[in-house]
Amino acid sequence: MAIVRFAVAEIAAQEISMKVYEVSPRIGIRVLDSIRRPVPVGQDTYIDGKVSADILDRICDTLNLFHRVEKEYKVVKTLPIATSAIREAGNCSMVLDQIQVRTGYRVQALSNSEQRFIRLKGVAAEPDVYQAFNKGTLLVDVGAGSLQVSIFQKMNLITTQNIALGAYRISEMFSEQNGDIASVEEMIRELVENDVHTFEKMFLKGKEIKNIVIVGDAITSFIRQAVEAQSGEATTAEAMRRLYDRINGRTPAEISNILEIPVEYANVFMPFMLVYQTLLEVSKADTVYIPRADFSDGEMRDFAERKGILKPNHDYNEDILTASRSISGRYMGNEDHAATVEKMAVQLFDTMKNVHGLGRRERLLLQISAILHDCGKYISMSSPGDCAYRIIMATEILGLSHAEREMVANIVRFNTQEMPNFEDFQGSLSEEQFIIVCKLAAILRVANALDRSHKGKFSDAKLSLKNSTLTITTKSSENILLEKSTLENRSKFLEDIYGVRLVIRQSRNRR
Amino acid sequence: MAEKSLEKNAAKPDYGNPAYYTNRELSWIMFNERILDEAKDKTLPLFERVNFLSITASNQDEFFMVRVASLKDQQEAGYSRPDIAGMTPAEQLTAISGELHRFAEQQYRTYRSLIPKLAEAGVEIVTSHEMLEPEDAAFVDRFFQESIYPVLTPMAVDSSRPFPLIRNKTLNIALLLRGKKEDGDGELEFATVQVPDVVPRLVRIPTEDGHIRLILLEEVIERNLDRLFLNYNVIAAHPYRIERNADLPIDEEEAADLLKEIERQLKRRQWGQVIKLEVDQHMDPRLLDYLKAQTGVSDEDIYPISGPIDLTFLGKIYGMEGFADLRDKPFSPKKVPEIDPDLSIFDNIRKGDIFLHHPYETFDPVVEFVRQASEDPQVLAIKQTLYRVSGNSPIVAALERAAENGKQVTVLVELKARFDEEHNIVWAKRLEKAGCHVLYGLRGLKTHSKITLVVRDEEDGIRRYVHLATGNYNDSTAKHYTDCGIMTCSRPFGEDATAVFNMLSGYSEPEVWNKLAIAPLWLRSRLLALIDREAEIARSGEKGSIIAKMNSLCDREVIEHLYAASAAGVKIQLIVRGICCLKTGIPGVSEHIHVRSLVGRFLEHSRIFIFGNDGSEEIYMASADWMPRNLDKRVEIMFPIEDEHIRKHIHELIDIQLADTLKARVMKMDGSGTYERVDRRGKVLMSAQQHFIEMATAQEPKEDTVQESRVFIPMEKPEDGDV
Repeated sequence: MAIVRFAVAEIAAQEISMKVYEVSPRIGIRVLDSIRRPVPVGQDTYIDGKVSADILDRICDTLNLFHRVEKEYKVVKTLPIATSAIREAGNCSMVLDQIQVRTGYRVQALSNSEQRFIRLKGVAAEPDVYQAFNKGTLLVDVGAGSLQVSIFQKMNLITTQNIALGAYRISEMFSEQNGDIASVEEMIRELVENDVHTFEKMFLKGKEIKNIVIVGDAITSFIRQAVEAQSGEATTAEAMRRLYDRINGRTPAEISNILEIPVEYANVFMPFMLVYQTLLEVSKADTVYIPRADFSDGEMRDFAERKGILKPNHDYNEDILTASRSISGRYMGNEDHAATVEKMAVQLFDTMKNVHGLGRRERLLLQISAILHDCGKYISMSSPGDCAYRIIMATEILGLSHAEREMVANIVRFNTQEMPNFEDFQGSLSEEQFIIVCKLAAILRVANALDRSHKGKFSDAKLSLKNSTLTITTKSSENILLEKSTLENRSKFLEDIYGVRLVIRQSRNRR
Repeated sequence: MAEKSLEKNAAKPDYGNPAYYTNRELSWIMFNERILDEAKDKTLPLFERVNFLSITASNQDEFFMVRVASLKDQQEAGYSRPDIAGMTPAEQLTAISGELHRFAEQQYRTYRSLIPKLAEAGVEIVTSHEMLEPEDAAFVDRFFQESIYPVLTPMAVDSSRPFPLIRNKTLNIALLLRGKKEDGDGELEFATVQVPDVVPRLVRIPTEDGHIRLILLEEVIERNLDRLFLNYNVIAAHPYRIERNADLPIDEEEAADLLKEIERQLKRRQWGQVIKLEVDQHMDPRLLDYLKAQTGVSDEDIYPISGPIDLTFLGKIYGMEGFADLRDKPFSPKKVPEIDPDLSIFDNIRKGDIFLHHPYETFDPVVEFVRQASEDPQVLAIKQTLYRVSGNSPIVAALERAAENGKQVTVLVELKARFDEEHNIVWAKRLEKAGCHVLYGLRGLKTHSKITLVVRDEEDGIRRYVHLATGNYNDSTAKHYTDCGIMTCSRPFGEDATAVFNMLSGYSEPEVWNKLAIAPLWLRSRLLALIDREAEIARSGEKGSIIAKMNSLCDREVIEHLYAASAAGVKIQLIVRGICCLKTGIPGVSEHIHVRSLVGRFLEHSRIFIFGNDGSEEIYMASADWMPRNLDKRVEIMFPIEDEHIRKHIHELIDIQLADTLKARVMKMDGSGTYERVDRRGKVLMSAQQHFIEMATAQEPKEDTVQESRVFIPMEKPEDGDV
């Protein structure tokens, strides 16, 4: 495959940037150019709640300059994206519309989990950092509006948590505390300590956190320079401590001088540093990774993988499933039952391939829904559907887009609840997505019904689909009356949607 | 940074002591004296000597308009902070005036000694019109009537006609007149007439034997003054010339359109404050008093001249046809042996980095680089900084063509390049018209770096070709300025070059620089760190060594660090052509520093820095001198030389310059900061420039068929001026 040139244009909290890449299966991803201009979008969003006209002008002026860069490299396609500073602005959609009218760029504002996932993709593409995920590793992603902490072990993402503690919130805390760093430090410590310790207890089961990976906008590159870490190589908690001590108590102007960094970035340097430092101390990690890959790199990789130009170096679907099982575990889900339902659901899905016409991604959504289908019971036995819906909508699953998460939440909800018409449906899904929800919910209902007794009676079942009849054959000699009666209620939905009739057969065991 | 320098201050002795420094203006005057020494050098061909004398004159004009003007501004603004050598602006001006009066005497003594030699050689200059033979007198009078008279504008001054504005650097004749009808003691009137600059300064008088006989234009006019003022008697008439403050007071913060602002200020340069008045030494005291009152100059700014005012006309004699035996043997730059003419410049660069040493080696590859890029279908973009370009520059033409061919062309044209502003505005407009993206430089900074980037779409991806140099993209000055450059397609250099142009386009700095050090943000600290590292090495008992070649050295901080390094035992050898505020041989401060200056037929212009680094030597080149303006007020680039072969070559070049015994002057090791010729006893007589000429000639590839250069050679007026 020939080398193709792409660009990523990013509107971040502190700057507008464009990176130009050349990509091919042979050379991978190579950065050709990287241009940035400081534009304090986050200042507007996080302090005034919306993007001002002045900042909008500056965004558009800068984006318009990028057209020239596209020509300089004959860029095939530019991916324009925006992160939290635009997403969380009160006038987000108006801003995006203006940008499109004035620059021609149709900017996509990523949801938090999309944003964090893409960040992760960029970071995980660095071999050294990726290797670190084998041991207990904390990935600390400080954004303008919030902080994302994720835990890895044995190469898998175990769980992730969003904490409302962004760089701007911390700046605010500074001014509230009249710049008293010690008390701000204490507040941040309290805010993160609890979460991190809960993480440790729940997911690492007493195993230590060994590594910490710090990411977050342009600031981390300045930190990397300041601690003189080579790209990709790890540095120590000790080196970070020394840097922290060097700048502790200094004004942004002084920090700008000491570290020789632009003053625009020096302003938010201390808040970032505070979060990293606190998490380092709380987690007692001793090795610090400061990846070079930035957000744009992640977006580029994600795009290249989706287009099949590059193969993923990591099975992110497996991460999503692991994370879903963790969530289920947190809400006391029945592990065996969930596994059985998941297995049955997948089996049904695969057997019905020709009638549902859905793909791998939907299969994954079904699996997640199966894993999480009874998490609502943790809160209420009487309205498990609603509760599950709320839990899922409030839980970050890295790797799922916001729409996908809503789909999962609804699949789980309509596992137990009456399915409304699209006209009556409350939510932000498109009709197309709604139909997928219906199709998957129908399968989940059947799968769930097949293990009504939570005894795995159908664990060895064989499925076949002939002439619009789905036959489920089990060799199990146990009484399957409960399942049969539940199925009678549940399979109507399947029939409505797919026009498929369900038949259960219990074959006699000839021993 | 504040933190770092505090730590240092506590430990070190006072290397900032003003006694350890030479004032930069006085140091510059010493440099001009070294050029005058060349004019006095009897071993040089006569025309070369004449030319050097002319250069001293044009150098001094520029010095006045820029340096003296700036000191005057400071004095006027009440600024009295002492300089690096402890002198206030007023003290400096007094010292400069003293030195320059002395210098003028030397200049004219030299001039008078050259006149008979020129006559012997067949170039006769009739020094005053009274000495003309009747026949010649008739000729010049006729010439006056036909060619001069029509362009003269005599201006009388009286109550209704105020003293006219005399244009900067023009030669004029001041007159005292008395009406013919008046009696002997009638009132005197003042008049002035400009010696026209549209007529050549030297008027050639035909001779029977064909030898050259010349008379100065002002003599011809003086002879015919009564024809200008028919109703008056000319009581006295003497030439004079003024120089004005030419510092452009551009308010970049306020100027919305820099281009327009500079155009406006350029017109004003003609009318700045008068800072120097040169008058004929025999000028009538009444005339002198009058001029003094009208121009407002003080006594120390008046220079009585014992010969023709403004010796730059000597450059015209140097440029006369014939007389080959009175000049240096002509030299034309040689081909670069590493470049295979059958391959494209890009193919050549891909074979390995190419080193260029001008003017010994031709500038053609640089022109070819841009020209081929403009035509090459694989080239996507060309980016270049232009500071001073030649008239009718082939590089500008190639950039225009590139834009027309659909390449993305970005050019930074530095509008603030002193005395080239007008010139550069023309180029900027032309390039814009052709479709180039033109940047007019950066607010508050001059872009002095010399860098070209060509982005090429090749089979294995984008490849970037970079040219970095110590001298301007000026094919004309490249014939007589010694400069170095490299061409490379190494990826780290390409990435850095891209980042440089991104910064020049107003984007943020890159996260890291692979190879380059850029002023004003990083170069200073980098240089200091390199110097300090040598000091550390010396302190640890190893050999510290610094060799640096540049045009000027006057940055206090750099010099302080050099002193500290010397005190630590670092051996420092400096080749500084012009200003050097550092003094050698001060006990405990600069005993290990040696300074030499090379002045020759070519203007030394390259900047090369070699740091010993405890055995793993680092070699750099730069567009920057070690001056505050280069390190703080300009965009400059310092780049490392990595190719082993090129490094060896550069080392040889430097060694040869350090062994020069003919053209070098060395600073005395007595702490005085003054220079002397090299003690040649027991040494080989060698001129580095001559040696390089021979080297380049010997190395030039011999071809069976002579291949003509495809590049047109434009005719242009010779250019002077530094940097």
